[in-house]
Amino acid sequence: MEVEKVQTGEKTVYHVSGRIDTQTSPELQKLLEVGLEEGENNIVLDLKETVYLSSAGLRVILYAQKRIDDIKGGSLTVVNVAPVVMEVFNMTGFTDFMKIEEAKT
Amino acid sequence: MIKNKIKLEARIENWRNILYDFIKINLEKLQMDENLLEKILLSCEEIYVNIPSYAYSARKIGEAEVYLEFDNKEVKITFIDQGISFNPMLVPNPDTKSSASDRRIGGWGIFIVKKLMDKVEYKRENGKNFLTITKFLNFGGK
Repeated sequence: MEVEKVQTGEKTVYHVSGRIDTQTSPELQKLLEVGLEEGENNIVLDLKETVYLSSAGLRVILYAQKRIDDIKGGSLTVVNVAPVVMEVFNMTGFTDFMKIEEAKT
Repeated sequence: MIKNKIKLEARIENWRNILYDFIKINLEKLQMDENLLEKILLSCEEIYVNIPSYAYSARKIGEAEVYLEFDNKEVKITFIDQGISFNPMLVPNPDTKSSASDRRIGGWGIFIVKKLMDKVEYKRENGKNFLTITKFLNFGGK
């Protein structure tokens, strides 16, 4: 997994490529934790290059969503989700609360 | 039916370092759809990581054995460990309708496996946990 972080205006876009699994997800969580501590509150996760997401990845997304929900005016948007990853979001009902968009970035 | 097995130290990192490739290289012989292969690998990760996380305690690293059995009709994978009795089938399904704030952090892995696989079976025998997941290839595909 590789993460590239791009600040565009008020948005912070995390371009995540590769596999978000048990081994790599702590790194993503750490990056998001640091970002949130630094005051990022409009976070975009671009999963265009993410080919795989396990329950460890779901936990990171849930963690970030819970944190963002506590921030007034905060938002977490997930863009460019590949079909296999989308299937995981769908079957677990994560799609019900996640803001998922087709990407423009 | 092709059979193959591997024995490894049940460390979390051995999923990516050893087991992932072992399963992938074997199952690639079946030339199945890539999405299906990813689903099987995802299920295997979810099962395997429970062994170092739950069956064995953090201070004691035990062994895991993984048996593969497959032909063009089904893929059957059995995970064996000598850790404490842990039946993932008894983990209650998380509520897929819950909001983010009410949502449980854990329990999603085995839930995903139950959704993606056709059969999940657990038994405890001779002080070992046996967890078998099966995917039928020609029928009942999900």
